[in-house]
Amino acid sequence: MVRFKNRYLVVRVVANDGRALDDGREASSTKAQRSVLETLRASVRECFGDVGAGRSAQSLGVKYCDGFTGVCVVRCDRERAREVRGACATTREVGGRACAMEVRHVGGTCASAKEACVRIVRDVLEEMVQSGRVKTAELEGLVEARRRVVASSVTN
Amino acid sequence: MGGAVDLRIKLPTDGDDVGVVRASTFARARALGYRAVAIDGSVDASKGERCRALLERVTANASACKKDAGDGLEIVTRCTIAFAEPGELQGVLGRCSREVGGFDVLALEPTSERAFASACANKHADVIAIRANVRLPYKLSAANVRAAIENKISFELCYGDALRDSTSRMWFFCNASALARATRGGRDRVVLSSGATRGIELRSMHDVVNLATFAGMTESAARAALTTSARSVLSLRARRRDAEATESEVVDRMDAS
Repeated sequence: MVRFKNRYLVVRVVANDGRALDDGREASSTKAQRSVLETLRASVRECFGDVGAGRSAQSLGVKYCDGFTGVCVVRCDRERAREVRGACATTREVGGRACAMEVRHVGGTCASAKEACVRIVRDVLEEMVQSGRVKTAELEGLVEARRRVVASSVTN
Repeated sequence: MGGAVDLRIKLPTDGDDVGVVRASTFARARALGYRAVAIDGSVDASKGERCRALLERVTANASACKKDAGDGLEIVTRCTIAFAEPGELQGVLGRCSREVGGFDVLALEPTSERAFASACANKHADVIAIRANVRLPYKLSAANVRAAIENKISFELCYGDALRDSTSRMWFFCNASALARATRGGRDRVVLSSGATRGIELRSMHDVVNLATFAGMTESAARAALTTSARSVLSLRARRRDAEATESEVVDRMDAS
C-alpha cells in the first residue's frame, strides 16, 4: 500500500490595514479558518484551472488558523505543494481584506509543522509587543494557549 | 552583502500618506529579508523637454526615501526611461545626461521592436525592463538578447504583475516563459523585481522563486535573479560610473597639458 504523503505549510496572513484576520484574541478562529480555505481554493482554481483545483482538492485543508496573529497551518498533497505555495503567493485578499500570504515553513510531518507554527506565533506576538498591541505580561499566556490548540488540531 | 535585492519599488510621490506608505514598505522589505531596494522613478522619453523636470522630481523623491529608510536596508535610486523611438531616448540621454548620471541604476523600457533593438545595443543602460502584464510589442530574438548580454545588460521582470488580476497574470507567465527560453532557463542576466507600489505587494524570496519556476526558470537561476544577478547590476553600475569619471579626468588633464 503506498502511503499518501502530505506537506504542511505554515502560512502567515499579513493584512494591509494592520489588523489581523479576526477581531478577537482567541487562540483559533473557525470563521478565519473557513475564509482562508475558501480563498486558497479560489486562488488555486484561478491560477491552475479546474484540473489544478480538482487535483489539489482531496488533501487541501486548513488545520489551524489563528485570527489574531494571522498564522495558519495548511495541509496539502506533496505533489501539489508547489501549486498551493504559488496560490498563496498570488493571493491578494482574504475575506474582503487586502492581505499577503507568506509561506514561512514547509514540512512533511505534523510535528515539524506544530513546532514551526508555535515559533512563528511567538515571533509575531513579540512584534506586536514591540508595536504596543500586546502587553509583555500577556505574551507567554497567549503563546501557551496557542500551543495547546495547535497540539490538538494539527493532525493527519 | 547577503540577502535579496529588489530593483524596482515604485513609491507614491505625493498624497497625505506618502510617509506612512514609505515607512511600512521599508519595514516589510526588511522583515522579508531584503537587504537593498531601488526606488524607481519612471519617465516617458516622448515628453521631450519636460523630462528634466520629471527627473529632478524623481531624484528629490529618492533622496527623501533614503532618509526614511533607517538601518538594515540600503536604498538605491533608479530611473526608468520608457521610449518607442531610439531618437527619443538619445534626446533624453543627451539633454539630461547630468540628471541621468546621478542615478544608481539606469533602466530602459522599450515599447516597440526598434526600441528593443536599440536598448539591447545601448552601452549605458543597466537593465531592460520588460513590461510583463501586457502582450509584448517586440520579440525576444536571440540576436538582440545576445547583444544585450554582451553589453552586460540584464532583463528585468516584475512579479507584481502576476498579483494584479487574471489577465495580467496570464501575460506575466507568457512573457516570463519567453524570457526564460531566450536566456537558457533564466541563467543569463535575468533579475526579478517586485514593481510594488506598497508594502503588501512584496513577497519573500522563496515565494518569488517558487513562482518563477512555473515560468520555466530553474530554481537556482530564480534565486540568483533575486540575489547575485541583482547585486551585480549595482556593482557594475558603480564600476561604469567610476570608469567614466576616470576617463573624463584623464581627458581634462590631457586638455590642460
